[in-house]
Amino acid sequence: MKVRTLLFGDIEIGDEYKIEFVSPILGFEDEREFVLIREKDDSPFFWLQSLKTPELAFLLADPFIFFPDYSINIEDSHIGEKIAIYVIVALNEDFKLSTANLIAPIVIDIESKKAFQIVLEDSPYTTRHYLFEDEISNSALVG
Amino acid sequence: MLVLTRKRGQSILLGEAIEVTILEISRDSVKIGINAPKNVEILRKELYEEIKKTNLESIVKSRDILKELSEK
Repeated sequence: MKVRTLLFGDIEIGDEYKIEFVSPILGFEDEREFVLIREKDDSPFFWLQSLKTPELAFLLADPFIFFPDYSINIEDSHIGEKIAIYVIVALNEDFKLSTANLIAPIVIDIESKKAFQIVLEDSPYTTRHYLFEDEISNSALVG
Repeated sequence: MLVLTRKRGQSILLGEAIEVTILEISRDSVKIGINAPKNVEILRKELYEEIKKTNLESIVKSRDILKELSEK
């Protein structure tokens, strides 16, 4: 299928990359269909591009690469056994100060391609964790 | 908005499946127990609003980032 995007222009993508949000990205209740594209082979980053709105795209990250201790407990009967978990990245002008939303990850059932943004109530996580915490000096944070 | 008064230990039903019980009352907070089906999402509103705001702020609007990523 052909997908119109602000970031990449018109692109051709196989139907197998299409996912459907059965529980929406909060604030985007009218946006249910997206494609998920890996930034490039072996990259920890992925693009979540709306099929409906060319201007709507999110950068996702594999949380387990940046936050090896990340753990979530999902109790949802709609989710199968094979799932993928991503977190939404909030880009900063200074890329190394970009953050990830660990309290509300995107969960995708790999077989059904159904997706959810779930909220981890009672978790230690917040909406903003530095992706490159180790590389950020204390002075950068204070300044 | 429907407003009603409840005492400690009393409940209200939202439909037949959701029960909200007042567990504890103190000076400026109440502890609430909720029984609801698993498919009903229960969120503190301020957390919901914060996630919504973060999501909105996370829309990628510029291609500038693409260059940075290609170097990672």
